[in-house]
Amino acid sequence: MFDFLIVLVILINVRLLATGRIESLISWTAVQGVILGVFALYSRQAHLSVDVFIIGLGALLLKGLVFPAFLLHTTKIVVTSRETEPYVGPIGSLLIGMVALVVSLWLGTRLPIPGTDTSHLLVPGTLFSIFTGQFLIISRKMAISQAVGFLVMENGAFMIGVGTLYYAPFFVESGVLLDMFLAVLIMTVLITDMNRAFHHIDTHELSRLKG
Amino acid sequence: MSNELLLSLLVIIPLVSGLVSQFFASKWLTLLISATGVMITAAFGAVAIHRTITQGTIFGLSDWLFLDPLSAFHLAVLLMVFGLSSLFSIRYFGEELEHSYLTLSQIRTFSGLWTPAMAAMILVLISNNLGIMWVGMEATTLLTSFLICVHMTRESLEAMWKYLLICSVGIAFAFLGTLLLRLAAKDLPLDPNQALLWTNLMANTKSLAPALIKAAFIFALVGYGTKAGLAPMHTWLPDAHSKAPSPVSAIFSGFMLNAALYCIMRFVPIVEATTGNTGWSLRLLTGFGLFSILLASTFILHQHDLKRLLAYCSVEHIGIITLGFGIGGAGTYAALFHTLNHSLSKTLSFFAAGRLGQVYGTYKMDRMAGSVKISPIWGLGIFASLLALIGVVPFSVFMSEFQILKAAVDGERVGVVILFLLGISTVFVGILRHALSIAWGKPGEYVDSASINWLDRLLVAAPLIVLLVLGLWMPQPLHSLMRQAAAVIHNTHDIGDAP
Repeated sequence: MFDFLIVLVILINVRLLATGRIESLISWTAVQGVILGVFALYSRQAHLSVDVFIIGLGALLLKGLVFPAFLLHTTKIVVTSRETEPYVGPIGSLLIGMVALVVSLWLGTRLPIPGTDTSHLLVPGTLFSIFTGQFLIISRKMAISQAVGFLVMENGAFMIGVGTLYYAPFFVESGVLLDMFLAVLIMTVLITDMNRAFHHIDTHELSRLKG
Repeated sequence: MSNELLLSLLVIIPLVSGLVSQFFASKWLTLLISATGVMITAAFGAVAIHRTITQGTIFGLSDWLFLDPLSAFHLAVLLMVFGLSSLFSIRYFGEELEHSYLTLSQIRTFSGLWTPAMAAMILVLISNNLGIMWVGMEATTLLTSFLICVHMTRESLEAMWKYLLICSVGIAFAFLGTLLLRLAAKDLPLDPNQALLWTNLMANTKSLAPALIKAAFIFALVGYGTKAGLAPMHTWLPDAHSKAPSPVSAIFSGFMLNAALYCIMRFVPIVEATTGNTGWSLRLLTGFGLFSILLASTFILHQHDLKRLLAYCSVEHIGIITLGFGIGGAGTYAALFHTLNHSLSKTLSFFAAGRLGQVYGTYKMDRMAGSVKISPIWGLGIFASLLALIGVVPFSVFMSEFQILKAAVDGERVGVVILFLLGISTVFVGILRHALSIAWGKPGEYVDSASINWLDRLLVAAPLIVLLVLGLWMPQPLHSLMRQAAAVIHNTHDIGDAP
């Protein structure tokens, strides 16, 4: 079951690399968020207490529903909903993604996690998620796509956290989720402000500040 | 008052004052409440620092909060920078209020975020739990991002987006670093609630997995290094520093960068103790430090905007501090001394740049000539602070740079010495030519003289006096605190031949 969920996360990353529509990016990130919420609850089922349950459910709701809802709402406000000219197209993104996946799998063998109870796909899955998020931020021009990239990166870090630690202090985990919530909220507000000021959210055009 | 209450108040007071400031309809009152909150926090902070110096490390909230010499030293720098910057904000925004340039909503944005940003930075320093330290660091990004946009312009929006995105991504890397650190301690027989405590990790370094610790450090270095403005992850910094209002630029350069560097320094002793003190992490710091100095020095030569020049100067000085930490030994002490010196001189330079920018209506250096004639106090302030920043005698920046150089020479690091000298010489030339024309050049015909009051004089004199005094004489309590702070990084009780 662990491996199955991690493979799903990896496949969604591949799907994200191949898509150009912003709504599609957000929707698939939402699916990934739900899977990670399930993953959090499932991986800690043997140690399930009230606070662990709250964190798992909170992550599922935030990553699977709230963040995507914010981003979809913002997409409706701003002018465009499609990456017309990403720096790297879908085919190029996929090819680069495949190389990154192979490198992630190799790195996974170089970085063993203590204990025998964790999936060997966890480290590669995390590294590939972080790569995917980074790549979306670098290769896409629309600010919303970059915000999605940030979410995918955070999803990767979240996966290794809940996949390996049966318990992390409630204040730390809730603090992390609160920070994430604020980050996405601020990003969407800022994207709306930028759209109002520039009449676009193409970060390629954000070139007034140089040198 | 218990240590627990004292440490908690350091976070609670600024949060409350930020909240309270939102309930008043007077712009001045809103601004004053924010500054008062900072001053009250500074008073409690001084008590906490005094206790650490006299009693040793103090703890609170099941050891989740603590103040050891390293965090106490940084807290002292923070309180100085925030205290001065809060006074300056009254002067800076006061000028805009007199001309009705600012709305109540803009003042509320500033006051509502200013002190909570301070609370987040204090949380970073007093967290013994590395997870909470990360939460505090991410909170500083979120809370300070809208401070860049107090004056909402196209440029400030662009700067804010770059800042928010790049730093959030960086901090996500740091999060992974923190997780890997926790994983390295997975098999330790520790209560899960206590496993991320820095003091516990330090007590169990022999049982940590070296491979994971190294991976954790790389992620933390890149992540927190992004927030610290280390090259090549510094790209957000010149935009954010130059487009933020000057009091905000002052806390960005004067402390926020140091807070991120402080987080890296919490990782260093763990890595070194786990990997057998091989100097692996120090070599990485040396590399990033030198690269930052050299890259910043080349950009400084081509700057036309005063605040961008100061921003690149921050990249250079963060590089110097990182280099000092990387050299180790006496270099660590010198790096801490340089932290204080840079924070004070950069705070003053952003104050002066801000006030002169208001007078000239621009930050273009070729149009800011003759500032000493236009505004003797702030003209002198910018000139002296730029001289201090390039390490002119007798300012204390010279002393700390000399100590770092001496540590490199003593360690027979010939390559490091050459590259360091190359970098700071380039910056010396690059900044001095601008400093001379800004101070003594021929002013334009249509620039009016600036009004000066006692607060202007205080804000220029206070940092300058400290920089001059520290250049000539080192007070024993500060020397002792920096020695102890360096010992925390070295994981020893004394550092031998520190100056």
